[in-house]
Amino acid sequence: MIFNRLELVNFRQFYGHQEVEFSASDRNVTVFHGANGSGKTTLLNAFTWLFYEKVSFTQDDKLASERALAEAEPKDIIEVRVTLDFEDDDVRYQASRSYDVMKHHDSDLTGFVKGRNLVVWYTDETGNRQKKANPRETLANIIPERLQDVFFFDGETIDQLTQINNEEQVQEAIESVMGITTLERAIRHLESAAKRFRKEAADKGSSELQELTLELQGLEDKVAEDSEKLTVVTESLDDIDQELTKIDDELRVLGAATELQERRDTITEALEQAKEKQAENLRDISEQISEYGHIPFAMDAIAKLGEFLDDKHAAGELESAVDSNVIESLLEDGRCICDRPVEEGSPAADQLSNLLARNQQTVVGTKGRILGTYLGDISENEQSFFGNLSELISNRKSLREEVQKHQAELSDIEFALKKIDDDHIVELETRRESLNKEQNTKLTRKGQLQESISTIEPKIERLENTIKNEQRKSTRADLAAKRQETCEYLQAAFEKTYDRQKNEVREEINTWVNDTFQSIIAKEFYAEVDESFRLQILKDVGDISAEEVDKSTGERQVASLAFIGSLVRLAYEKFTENDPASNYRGGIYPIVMDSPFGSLDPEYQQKVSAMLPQMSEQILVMVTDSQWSDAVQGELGDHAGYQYNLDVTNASDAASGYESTAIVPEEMEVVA
Amino acid sequence: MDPPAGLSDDDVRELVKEVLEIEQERVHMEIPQNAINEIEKAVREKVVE
Repeated sequence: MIFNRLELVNFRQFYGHQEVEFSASDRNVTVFHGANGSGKTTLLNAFTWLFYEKVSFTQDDKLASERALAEAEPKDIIEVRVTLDFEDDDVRYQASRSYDVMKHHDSDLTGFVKGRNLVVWYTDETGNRQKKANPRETLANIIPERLQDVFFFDGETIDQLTQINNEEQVQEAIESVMGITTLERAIRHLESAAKRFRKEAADKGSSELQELTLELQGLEDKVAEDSEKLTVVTESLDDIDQELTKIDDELRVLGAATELQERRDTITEALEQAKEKQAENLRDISEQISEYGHIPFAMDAIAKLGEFLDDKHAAGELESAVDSNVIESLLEDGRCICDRPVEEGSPAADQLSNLLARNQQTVVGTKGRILGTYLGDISENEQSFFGNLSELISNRKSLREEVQKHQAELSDIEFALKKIDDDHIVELETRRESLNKEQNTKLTRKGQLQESISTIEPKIERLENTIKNEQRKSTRADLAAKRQETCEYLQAAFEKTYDRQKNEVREEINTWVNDTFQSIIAKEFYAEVDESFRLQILKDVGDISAEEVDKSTGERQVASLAFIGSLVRLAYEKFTENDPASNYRGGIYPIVMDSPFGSLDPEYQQKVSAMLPQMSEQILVMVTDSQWSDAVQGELGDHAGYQYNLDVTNASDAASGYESTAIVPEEMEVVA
Repeated sequence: MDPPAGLSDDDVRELVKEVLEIEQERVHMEIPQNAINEIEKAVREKVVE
């Protein structure tokens, strides 16, 4: 996909009608630079609003230009619109989203949305311009919404790709960009088709089969519903985690809070370790109880059994210490163990025969004797069980005290931080506290949902087997069942291929991710996407192992940029190779970046700007005037096809009395 | 895992190819239900009494 032209109409501070063109090919970078607050993020939001109707503004209902609303009369309608011309897969598109915003009264600077409209045009093979029947779906297929942070990204938050729990986003990016989503869709659709056949089998089968199928459907719906809720809870826990990390990062560098935050880091780590030990201790206690817990309750019965065996022994019913088989073989061989002959009818033979008869008649016999030896072991186990359990319980107590001690220390730190005479620190700490509360509630909810799902899943498996048996009883139901089975077989085959391909791409991309990362960051660290799709920054420790390191925001940001750049580059390579034997379609993807340098220092800024033109076939970059330094211009200038200044007219200087931004094209240096 | 009874390896290969073609066309078909309908049709044609 390549973006050609963007049109903004009364979109936030972009008053009136404004247009920009984007460059591609050799000069693949389009630069927008401006002062803080000049509208860089608004420009990025123009893309996300067009594609997904989403913006990141605090006041997301204020989309219409204030100046346009101020100039309008009450009841007038203002058009707010973003139109984008782009090409994808050799098809030319024009997508346009607009709101009709009505001004209510004289001082109304927000307006009321009266109408919403989204239209996507495309030019077909014959050159005719056609309207897409489902414009939302068309845009979502081109850049799925879940990937908006990858392709329309804010440099201030892009380091999130390396945060814990972001493997899902990394994995989705790989699947989408490489065209593996085709497989993912096939899997989902085969599952739906299988369900249709199952319903057909039920309709054609017995009433019992219909009831079972309905029951199964109900359970599956419940699992789907819980899984959806689980995803929402997990995502929101990830957000909380990320916000907490940010707050901690900030507190760590705020002079007055540094020491307390560092102490909190140490205590938090000790608390985590104590909690782990606590969990281990609980596991050990439960193992002891499940293995030996019955013994104390059985001791009465065991004692009675012992007495019973003693009685039997006294009655001579247990006196033989020799197994019946041994006696039989002596009689058969006609020779005693001491090698004396045992002839038939001799007193020795009679004695052996009597012993054998007693052994066979006895109620308990040899088994009773064996049991008798176990009774001794059981008594020993009882003693060690009580000993082990008492030690574990005492550990539990001290671990609980340790956890409580750390929790109290953390509370003291929270209290001390909130007492610091600095509004910002107090504000951060208060937010942290409320996030912790929210986190606890959500963790409980997550546990409940996981429990519910794991209880239903085995029931589903049992029902599926019962249904399969029932389906075989009817010929017509059997055919539908065979079709269902075929869909399930294909689904399993696609799942296998899907997993394999994801890993192939992951391995292929890793070399590039690391090369790019190391070209900017010191060589002792490297970046990789691990087997569970986590983007990590590692450091070698010893010859064979590496450990994840806790790096700065800047380094995480570089790792994230390296990942996006490598992915887009690999997708481009696969797309241009156009190898019919390849399983990946790949594609061309532009990247829109607001503040790509985020919090990087000047040296990294220069290195990143040298890397940007290599990242994609098309780069749109928005930077602050202060970041648009000579060094950055030196790296990007030769690659920039278009350059724009976001020229702000402040409210105090504007004749209208309202702030607005004009996108002003700048002259480009011609490179010989 | 063996193919379902009555289906040869060739049948399975053909079905896999068909499903992939259906999914690759889907962007242009635009309505997700269409892909499921097409898959259902392909399986019906291949798995017969």
